[in-house]
Amino acid sequence: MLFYSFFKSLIGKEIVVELKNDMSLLGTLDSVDQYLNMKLLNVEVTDAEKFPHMLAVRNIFIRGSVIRYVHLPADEVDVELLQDASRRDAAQAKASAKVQASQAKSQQQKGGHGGGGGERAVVPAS
Amino acid sequence: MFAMWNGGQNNGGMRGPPRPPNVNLPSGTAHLLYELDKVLLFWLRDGRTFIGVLKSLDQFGNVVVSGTIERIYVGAEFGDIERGICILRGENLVLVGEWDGEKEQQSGTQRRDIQYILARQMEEEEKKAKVKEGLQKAMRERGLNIRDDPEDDLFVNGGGPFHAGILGIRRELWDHQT
Repeated sequence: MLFYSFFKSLIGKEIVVELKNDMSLLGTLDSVDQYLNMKLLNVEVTDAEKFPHMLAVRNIFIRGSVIRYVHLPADEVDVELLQDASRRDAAQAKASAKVQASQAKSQQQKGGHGGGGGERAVVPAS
Repeated sequence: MFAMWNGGQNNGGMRGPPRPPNVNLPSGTAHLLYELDKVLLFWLRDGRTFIGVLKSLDQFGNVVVSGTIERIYVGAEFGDIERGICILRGENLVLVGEWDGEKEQQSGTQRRDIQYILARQMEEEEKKAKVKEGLQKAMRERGLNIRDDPEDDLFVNGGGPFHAGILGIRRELWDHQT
């Protein structure tokens, strides 16, 4: 969801979206959703002769799955902020993994003490 | 985020101007709900262009389009084939554009007879295929091979087997009608 939030912060800015079929679209970002589908306003196509059907549209909705690159205005991107957010995510993931591991361990110990029930119960050699 | 919506409920019995759907999404969320009952252009992954009125959509981006025409462009000329009501599967869509008649008139594109356009398109495709073939031959001679991958999840950029299939159907249509 980090990049969803990031793109939401870019709403109203001019971006260039490059699609997987090599078409580049310059437009104002109007909205974005969780799949990174995007709506652009006042679109201009670079290399318009190659895509004549784009001559009759102004506002478009692009499916996120066909986007290759998004060129962003450099001054609008706070790399530090993005990095911090990623670090926070990483720390959180680490912490939750630790909790899960310790829970699994305590459950295993309980199973061992209960004895008898499971096929895998350890029976001490007599 | 797409939301389930039925176009038929919009103007209760198709009379009077359509009411805007009751959308309860945060602003800045990309969806097509406000485009219902508008004329839109749908560009598909295989390069085809459909133009019609958006009647319904779902969370996958599948759409129902009525009064559809398939518009074939060759350079600055185009021809139309009527397709009626279509359901387009969401994964095949590249882009949905709001149709702007004013902009179209300024664009300098010209409508031509469909038979003419189909013939021109075939010429173009054959030209492209020839260029590709030459390139492939030159590459092979140098011990390289261009992989022509029909199952690619990206775009079929013309000349692929799927495109050839469409071309074949068009050719039949064309032969039949002439």
